Order: sequence, then C-alpha cells, then structure tokens
Amino acid sequence: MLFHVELKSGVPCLPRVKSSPAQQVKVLFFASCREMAGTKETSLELPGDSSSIAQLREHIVEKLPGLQPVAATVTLALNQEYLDPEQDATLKEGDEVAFIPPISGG
Amino acid sequence: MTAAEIARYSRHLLVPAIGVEGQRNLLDKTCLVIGAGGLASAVLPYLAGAGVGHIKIIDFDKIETSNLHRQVLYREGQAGQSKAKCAAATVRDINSSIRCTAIEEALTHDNAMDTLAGVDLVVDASDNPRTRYLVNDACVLSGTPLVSGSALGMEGQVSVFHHRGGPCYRCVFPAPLAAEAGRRCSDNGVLGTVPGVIGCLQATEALKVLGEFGSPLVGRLCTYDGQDGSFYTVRLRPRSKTCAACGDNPTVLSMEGSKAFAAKHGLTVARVVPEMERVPTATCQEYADVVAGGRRHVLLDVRVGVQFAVCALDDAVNLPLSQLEASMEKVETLSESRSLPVYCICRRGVDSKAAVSILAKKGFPNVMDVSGGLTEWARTVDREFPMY
Ligand SMILES: [Zn+2]
Repeated sequence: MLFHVELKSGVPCLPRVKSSPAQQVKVLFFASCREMAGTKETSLELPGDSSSIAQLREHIVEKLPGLQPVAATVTLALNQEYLDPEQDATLKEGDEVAFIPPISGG
Repeated sequence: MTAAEIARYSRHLLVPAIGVEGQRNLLDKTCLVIGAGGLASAVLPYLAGAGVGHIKIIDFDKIETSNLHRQVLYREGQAGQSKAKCAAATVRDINSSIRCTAIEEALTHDNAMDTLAGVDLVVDASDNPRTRYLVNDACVLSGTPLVSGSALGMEGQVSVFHHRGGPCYRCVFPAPLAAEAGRRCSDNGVLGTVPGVIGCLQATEALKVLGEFGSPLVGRLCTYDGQDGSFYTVRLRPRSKTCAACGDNPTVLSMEGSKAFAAKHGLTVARVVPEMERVPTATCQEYADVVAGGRRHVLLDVRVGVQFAVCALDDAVNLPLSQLEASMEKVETLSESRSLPVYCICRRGVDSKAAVSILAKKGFPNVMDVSGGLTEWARTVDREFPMY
C-alpha cells in the first residue's frame, strides 16, 4: 500500500491513502461456466486496494450475466489453488481466477 | 507368482515402481466400476489387461447406436444388449484369468452399500450428478477410495477422492449447482476421445491405488481441455472439516441421508423430468393447429445453437435459454410489442418451461410452453421429424 503525506502550512498533517490503480485479474472459465460466460477467458479490472473474490463474483455477474445462477456458489481456484465457495480472498494484480464447475458426463 | 503370471505381466514387473509386489497387489484386489459407458470403455480394458483380480461392473443401460462413437468397448451388432454383460464379456476375452462380475442394475441409494461390500476401490465412470454424490457418500461411509472421472463436450476432470486423508467429492463440490441439477434438456455432446483420455487417466490412478505404487492424484483436480490440448491442475484443500460426508460433524451419516440430500437438491434419476412450477402449456397438437390455422405467433426454440442446427421446426427463432434474460428487446420486437402469442419449445420440454416462466415474470401476457418439446412433436405430430 502506498501512503503519501502532504505537508502544507496551516493544514494538519494527515497521511492519506492514495487510491491504488485498478487491478487486472485474469479469469478462466471451464465446462458449463464457459457456456454461460460465452468465453473461455476474460480479463477483469477490479478497483484497487481491497479487491476480493466476493467483489469479483459481483463484477462477473455485471459483466457476464449468464453466470448469474452459479456465480455465488461455483467452485473457484485462485492461481490454481482451490477456494472454498464461501471463502473470500484478496486479489492482487495479475492473479488468475478459474471458475471450475463439476462435470457430470461420462 | 506362477510362470504364466510372470510371462503375462512381465512388462509391469520390469517397471521398478511396480515390480512383483505391485503386480501381486493388483492380482489380489477387487475394483468396482460404476457405469459402462465412454469412460469405462477405456478404464475396463486396462484394468483387465493389468490383471486386477476381480472387476465388478454395474450398469443398467442398453447399448444404443448413438453410444458407438465413444463407447468403443461395443460393436454395432450389440445394439440393444446389456452394457454390463457385453463389457464383462470383453473383459473376460482380454483376460480369462481374472474374475469379472456384471451387475445389470442401476446403482441406487438402497443397493450402494451392498454393491461396495468387499471392494478395494471404486471407479466412478457414471454420467449424472445424482450418481456422483451417491457414489461419494457410499465410498466415505464404507471407507473405500474413489477414482472419479467425467467428460463432456471437449473437457474432462479426474481426481482421487477419500484416500490418504485427501478430500472427498463433496469437499470440493459441496452441492450441485442449481443450474445443473435438473438439466436434462440440453444433452450436450462429447468428443468421443475425451472420455477415452479421462478413462485412461482414471485407469492409471486406479492401478496406482490398487497396486500401491506411485503418487495418486489425491488433493489435486486435473482438468483436460481437448479443444486446445491443455491440462489445468488445481491443488485442492485437504479434507474439509465442514464436509457433509467426511467432515468432523458429518450430516450424511447413512445412505438414507445421502438420499435426502439428493431429493433436497433435485438430483433426479436420469431422464426423469424434474418437478417444475406450472406454466401455461399447449400440447404439440394444439401448437400444430396454430401453425395449420395460419395464426400469427412467435416460436422461440430455446435449445443451444448446435442442437438448433441439427433440426428445428419451420419459423422457429433460436434464442438459447441461457441468453434469454439478456435478450428481452429481441423478444419484444419479435412479439410486436407483446401483441403476438409466444410459444417456447426445446428438446424435451424442461428448458422451455423455464423460458416461459422467465418471460411471464417479465410481463409477457401470452406465453406458452409447447409441452414435451420436439421429442413429443416427433412422437405425436411429425414422425419424420429427426431426433438426435
Ligand atoms: Zn468430504
């Protein structure tokens, strides 16, 4: 996180959080999510600082409404590591999130 | 090991990781394969060749012509015959020195525990979510490791569950996705080789678990994408403490509990139309009369594009269910600002009901489901209509 301190005469000296730039997150879709999203892969811009998986789920539905029915519960992986459907996590620039619904066919 | 066994399995014996001990393990073990379809078409010949002592195959289904492109275990002349029986015959042809049992039944919550008795490993080669949860629960309850594989379209998944402290299927997929549970209308296709690839991976994992060599795919989910020829493996978590089946306070304590879970999540027996809210309906004959009478209307075919391309009714407009909510303007235009009646149709009459329900909620005044879909149309109105 970046802080910068402004020093001006007569103004109390307060550190301000500089809003960090939006983060690019790569999102991969597998199996039925691919169909719902209409794409295999997208890049999503999330607001800086406190971007999270929960936010990402919301953004995804806004951008790809076809995912609405599963966005909140589908199994996700962050950088090829399993994320609990109820779990949240902080995202950083360049992270890769994968939507991995189960496949049932055989 | 007998001289015949040594000759037969010599190429296993010469692999340092397998050796005499690994092969002996295989010869002593019993493996249950659930489903004798595309995945099993790869799994079964390899298990047989490898000399797994006793192979049990459970499948209630009969061989159909549309299976032959991927279920390469079967021959044209076997259409209509029992899959379990034909598969067992092939297993015995490959290896007459092992035991093979064909069970011509569906695996159910009621017979699962008996079916798993005495089994060292289960290979899930089934084709529906109901069976997948059922198999997982029976494996956890009986303490049997599970090699799970699945394939659809050009993609597949493999993992080894409930083994050496790793997660079970439920730890990874705690509940079926709402959008998946009742989906029967869009029977998606599958590239014939994809279940073959996944089945080979399953067979490899099965031999490792049974032979007690190598490092099984525990705590990892391997996904395969045939479209671009890539594998994507996700590290899973260890066993979940909150898992309904294998957690610290499990709620699925018996197959009855598993059955209740299936009912709660609408996991129906294959090809049974799930219970859905009632929507205004026209029979296929009633719709045929609308067409014959030249009455102006809109026919929305809500199947996915590839199915629509295979066959469709005249004048049908393709608007897949998944895109419907985002396509209200199109429906508005087609229906001439809601003045024309809108009929929805799909393959079997499930997705079309969902479409009618969506349009009704959006305030379209005159929307109807063509009951039973194109399957019913081919049965009752136009017997020449091609079904797939
Ligand atoms: Zn579990």
